[in-house]
Amino acid sequence: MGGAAGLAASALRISPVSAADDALYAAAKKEGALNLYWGSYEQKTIEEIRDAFKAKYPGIEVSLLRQASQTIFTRLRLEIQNDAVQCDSIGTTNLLHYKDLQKLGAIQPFKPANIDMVPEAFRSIDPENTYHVGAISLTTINQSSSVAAPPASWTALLDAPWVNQITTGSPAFSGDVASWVVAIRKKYGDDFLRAFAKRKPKVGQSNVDTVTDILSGERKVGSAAPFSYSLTQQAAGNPIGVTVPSDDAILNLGLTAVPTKAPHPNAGKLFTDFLYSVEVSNILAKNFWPTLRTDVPWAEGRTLQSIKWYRNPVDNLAAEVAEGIAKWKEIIG
Amino acid sequence: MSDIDIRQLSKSYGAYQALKSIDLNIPNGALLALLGPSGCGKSTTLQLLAGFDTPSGGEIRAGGELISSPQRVVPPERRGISLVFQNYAVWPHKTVAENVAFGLHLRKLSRAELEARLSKALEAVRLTPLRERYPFELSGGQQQRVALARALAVEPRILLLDEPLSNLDAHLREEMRFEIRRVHDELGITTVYVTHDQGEALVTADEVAVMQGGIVQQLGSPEDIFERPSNAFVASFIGSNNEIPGRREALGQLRVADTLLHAEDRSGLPSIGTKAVLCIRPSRVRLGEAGGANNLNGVVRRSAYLGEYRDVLIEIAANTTLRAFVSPHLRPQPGESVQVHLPPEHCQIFATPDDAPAR
Amino acid sequence: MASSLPMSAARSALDGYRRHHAFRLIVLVILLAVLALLIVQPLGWIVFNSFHDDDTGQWTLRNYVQIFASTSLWAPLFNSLLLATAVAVISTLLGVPLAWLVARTDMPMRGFIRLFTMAAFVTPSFIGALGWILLAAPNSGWLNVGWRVLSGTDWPLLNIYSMIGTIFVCSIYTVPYTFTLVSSALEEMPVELEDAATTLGSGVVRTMRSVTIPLVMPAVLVGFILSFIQGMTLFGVPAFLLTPSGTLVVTTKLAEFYQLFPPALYMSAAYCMPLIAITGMLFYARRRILGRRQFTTVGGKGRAGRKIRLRAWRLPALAFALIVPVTAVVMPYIAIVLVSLSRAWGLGPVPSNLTLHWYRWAIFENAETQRAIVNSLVYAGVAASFCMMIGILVAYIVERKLLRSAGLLAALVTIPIIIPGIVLSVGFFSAYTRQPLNLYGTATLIIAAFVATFLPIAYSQAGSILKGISPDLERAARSVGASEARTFASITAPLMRGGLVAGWLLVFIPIMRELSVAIFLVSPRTNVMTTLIYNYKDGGNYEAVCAASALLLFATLIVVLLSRFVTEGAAYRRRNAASLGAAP
Repeated sequence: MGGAAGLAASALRISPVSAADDALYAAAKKEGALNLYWGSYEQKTIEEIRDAFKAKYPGIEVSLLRQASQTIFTRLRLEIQNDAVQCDSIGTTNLLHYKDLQKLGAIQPFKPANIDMVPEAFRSIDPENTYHVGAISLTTINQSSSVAAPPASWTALLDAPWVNQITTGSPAFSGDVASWVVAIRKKYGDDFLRAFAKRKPKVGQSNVDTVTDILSGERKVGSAAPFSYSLTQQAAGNPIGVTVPSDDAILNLGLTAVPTKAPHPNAGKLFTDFLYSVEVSNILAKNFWPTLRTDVPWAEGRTLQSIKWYRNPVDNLAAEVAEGIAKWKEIIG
Repeated sequence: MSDIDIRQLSKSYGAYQALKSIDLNIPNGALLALLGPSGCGKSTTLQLLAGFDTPSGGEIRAGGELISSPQRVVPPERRGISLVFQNYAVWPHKTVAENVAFGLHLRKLSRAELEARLSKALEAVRLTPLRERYPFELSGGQQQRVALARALAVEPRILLLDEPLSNLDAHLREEMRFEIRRVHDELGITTVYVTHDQGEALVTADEVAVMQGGIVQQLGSPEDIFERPSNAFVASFIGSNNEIPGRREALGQLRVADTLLHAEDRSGLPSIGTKAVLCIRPSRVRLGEAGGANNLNGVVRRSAYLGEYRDVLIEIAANTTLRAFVSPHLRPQPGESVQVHLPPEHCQIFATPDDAPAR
Repeated sequence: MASSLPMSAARSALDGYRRHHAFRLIVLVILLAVLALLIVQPLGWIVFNSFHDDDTGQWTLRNYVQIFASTSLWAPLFNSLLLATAVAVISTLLGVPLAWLVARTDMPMRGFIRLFTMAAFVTPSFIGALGWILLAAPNSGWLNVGWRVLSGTDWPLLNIYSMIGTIFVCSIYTVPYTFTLVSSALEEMPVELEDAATTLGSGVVRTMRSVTIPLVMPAVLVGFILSFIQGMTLFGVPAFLLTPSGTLVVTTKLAEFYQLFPPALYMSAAYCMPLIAITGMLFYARRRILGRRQFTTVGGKGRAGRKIRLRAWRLPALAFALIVPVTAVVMPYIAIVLVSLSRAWGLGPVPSNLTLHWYRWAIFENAETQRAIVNSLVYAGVAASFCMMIGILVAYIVERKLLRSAGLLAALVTIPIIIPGIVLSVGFFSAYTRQPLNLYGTATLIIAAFVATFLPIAYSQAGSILKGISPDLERAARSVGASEARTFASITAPLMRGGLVAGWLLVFIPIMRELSVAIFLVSPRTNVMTTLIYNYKDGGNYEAVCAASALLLFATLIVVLLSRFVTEGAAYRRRNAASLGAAP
């Protein structure tokens, strides 16, 4: 594994900027610190992003708290409740978190400097500009390398060979799986879930569990599986592959915001700007994540355009998620 | 050193009255034994004296100073009262010397004085050769001596002993009785000795308080207690005793079956014709000697040779037997008829225990 | 004879009376203040929260109404009861004989079994569950693969994704509670008590039934209750093993509450209240069973190290005793260590796949793991020490009946154990992140939370040690002039020593492996091993998870061995001093 070496190299390549050229950096430097609460990206990737930020913007003390998205969100809610906000930048995988925070007036509007480099579709997801894209997460199918002909679409998962061979996560625990359930019900209705139940899938918690089941040999194919993470495991040498279903990868946006009562709001905004920098997109590409810039291709030359994807409409999402989870429990258990 | 004055001391645990207003005065330097069966209140009295418990009523004074009352209990460590426990309570993690010196260390003595008092205490109980041993390397008797030395080393004004010998074997027990008396005579500390063993009480104590049912039944010298018990309970609890039930015909006269027996009347009963008991020690009963009055006819039921004397059981009336300790050369046989003489000077009349006037 | 008392005895006695009570009052006030801060405040917030609406923040009874009205909320409670009862029964059936075999007999490999049972204790249950997934997942589990090869069938021998599998895994990681409690009770018990029965012609079995078992009954009951509570409050094992079958227990249901928008924090607080009631009943039952029986065993003599000879039963006994070490440590750790030594664990343990990279990374290259290892050890050490201090003080007040309402105190320090860590974590957050007591982000906060969470264990452990020390030993010191404090320091504390170390470990180890209570309290600088490991798991980095788990086990075992070394060293020096004294 060349992770540490690569990290050091990528950090070295970044040269510090001067506060004199950049008013926001000057303000952030004056604040002196930055507390990141992030659930998007796994520990290694977010640590690399943090280190790159430190290299580029010296003089700011960066603390990174990386926990599961839901934990991060609950914690920020508690901080808000107790008027003890410590967080300067929150990044989680669930849009509903931001709807909730917005309702509370707990996140502040601003327009990140580099937002124009973000793919058009994700540029202005919030008309009020209180939250912005933080990560692009795709759920696809993954399969063991021993599978010669993996299912090519979500509907193909319902074919006979996959009885007792499917692994997936639970929408009650995983935001990505929940958004997959919402999308699949939109596309195929509850009939899909009923047929899916007959294939007797193994339901774990997080959709990361699909990779575990495939690598251990417990199951052969994963549904609602994490695209980037599966690719990382493949690159590490594990016997796993990824199939982008012909009836669309389900795209779930990770988001980020700066709390209204953030102790270091300028540092938080500076970090958001930095997310859309070439440096960060390079780190993302290296770790098999979709990049946040149109001018930086993903790993192995993929781009957003090269993949067929679908994203749930936002308007009624909360109700649809609740309904999806209820239906899932009713039909699958 | 100081005297102890206990006034109307009582202690209840919920509805149970362990002590019912007792009064005791223990003169300076005396050795008082609290004697009684288990549950009689003697240990409660001791706990109250030591300061581990709060009385429900009454008070305790030591040397004139109030140390226990329902409102205020001077903590044990401030009383100058040492306690020796039934189970020794020797600290297993300290050597003999460390056990004994513990109380001395608390008194911030000079090293020389500490050593002197430690040696003196160890010497007093003859433990000097074992001073570096740990308790698990000692016999029960040796552990008891450690406990005694530990209590004495701090030179308390009062020493309390809680059944100190009951965990020892018979031989050792007898030896330690005299040991305790010797130590007391040497040091002259006011001592309260709790025991259920009358032998221990009679041998060691200046005065004995016999307790039962949370009440002091009798307070007196060992001789008083033995010779002139104040009631049938005391008479029977101390030493061997015959209790012969009968009907009181007049002061000093008790009818048993057809015979009228004469005795010292200590019943305190006002009326004539009530039930009462006649008490006489088996050793005072005579067989086959007519001595005028107080003669009964009986049949030998059992005769046991005990070396120094012979223990004879005689039936004197239906369902009434008495024991006599007679010279071993007499050989009464079971079934033999004998004449029994009860010398009036050794006979005492008491109220039947059930009817005894409440005190 | 010259009296050593001051001239005016009367004034000294009055002075002593005042000083004695002033000291008691000061200690009591400090203790109550500490308990108020540590327990009453956070628990108060949990109760307060439970009466509020998650959506509106208004006062409401709706949460409780919902618990009673909704059968979907009953099912997890019922499942938890089933799980907890089964875990308590099985860990008692495994743990009590195991403790007896190790403490009392000449069974071989006793040291190994003791060490490995402690190792089972050290293992966070979610890591154990992970190991067992590798071993006994129906298709891929190594044991099932082996079984298919040997038997030629295609049915799995074991299915870890089941209630039975969950009970099994919870039980083997819970046995150490019972084992430690009962074996230290057995070790404190004088052999004479057993000898007394044996000389009366009673056989080994009879002696056990009529003497040994009744004497260790308090420890067995505490072990049973702790195991039951473990079964109620464990999250990792049911989350991993029961989710696939769609079975919810209280803790996984709580996790679902936290996934809602907004997170149903207040509802989850209300949902814990039935657990407090159930635990209350358990402690009441314990008191009914033990009744007024007193178990004061340390009187005069120390114990002799004689062992019961098992003869022909030595090997069968060993086979039984190996169940826990093998199933809880050897087998899962083989799986975990193999994964931690892999470049890519999906390739399996082939030579080309082996690497020490993850250990090098965790120990030398990654600042986060380095800091977390140090934090875990320091926090657990400090918290366990405070915990024992408070636990002993409370137990002393309760056991020696120094206070009329001591029972309340006992109940108070016992409550935190039944509240699942995640809810406690919110309680601590609420209590300590607002003025005037804002400890947010500090190590103090995490240590305080650990102290409160594990105070019940410290208290019950201290209580059972104190039960074994005759109050006469303390009274003897008082009667020669030692104050209450001095008596405690010079007599009680040294006599507790052996049990103290065992008690300290019994608190230290669960703190090392505790996850949930820290979850909202850690900051980047105060992160601990378990939260970090859980993050790696969340990110699917199993090689790192396994390497960090192996390190956590290693670090804890070093502390266990060190403390054992220290106590045995002290015992050795004492014996040595004793034998020197005996020589002349």
